[in-house]
Amino acid sequence: MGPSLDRSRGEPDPVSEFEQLYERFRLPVYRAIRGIVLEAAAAEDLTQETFERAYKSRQDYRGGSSPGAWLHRIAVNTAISYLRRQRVARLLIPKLYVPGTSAQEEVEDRSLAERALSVLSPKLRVVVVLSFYARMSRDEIARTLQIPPGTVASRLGAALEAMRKALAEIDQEGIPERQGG
Amino acid sequence: MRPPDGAPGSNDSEWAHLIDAELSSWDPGFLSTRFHPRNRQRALPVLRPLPLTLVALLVAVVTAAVLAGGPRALTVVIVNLANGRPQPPPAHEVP
Repeated sequence: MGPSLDRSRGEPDPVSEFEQLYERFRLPVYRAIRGIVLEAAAAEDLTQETFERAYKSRQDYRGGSSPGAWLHRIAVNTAISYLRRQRVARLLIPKLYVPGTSAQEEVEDRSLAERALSVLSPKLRVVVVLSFYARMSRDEIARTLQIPPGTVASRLGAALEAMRKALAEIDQEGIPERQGG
Repeated sequence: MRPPDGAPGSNDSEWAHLIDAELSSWDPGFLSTRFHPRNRQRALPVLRPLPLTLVALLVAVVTAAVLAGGPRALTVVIVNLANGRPQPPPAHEVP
């Protein structure tokens, strides 16, 4: 992938180039988003939305970072926006969010990793997903989230601590409470 | 899968492995394998039959009423349309 996604000087067609980008990053972006929102169906919609946003703003991409980092930044913003909307909707109309199964059953159906992620706040979850799944360095995460590297480190530390505590509680058959800011 | 050691200071790579393995197993069910940008530009409403029909009918009724000469004629036109069969126009008042 070159430095720009919208070339018009007799170089590759930007649409087909974007299609290549989609093929390459479709799954990583989907998985990262799902790791943040922890909802499979919503993650698919948000992945589509992420690529739509990226496609619309591809002219703004100048190659300052890798295409993967650029896409992950859009994906994180899309996922966080979704969680904010959900939170507001839950506060306004809580009765619409009564689950079919109990919260206890929902948590028990999840895998260990998913349960560990579910105890984190979205901010901490994003850092964990970018670090442990997207394999970004602390500086890359800092650039992607536009926060200081020290904040990345402190969030990662807080997330690890919360996940350790959560798994210890899971071992004792309890449902851990959400932690982190 | 065994959780990483619960003790503080345990190796972060265990967490990385646990989370990476879990997330890598997630595959989308319906997400298209090819990118199709949605067409944000709405197509021109070439045919919207019902609103057009209603507007045309209203215009026809009002025009007919105006040409026929007043509110009484308007009533007759509406009654005609409602009945589905034409009735003779109102006779001019005979002194």
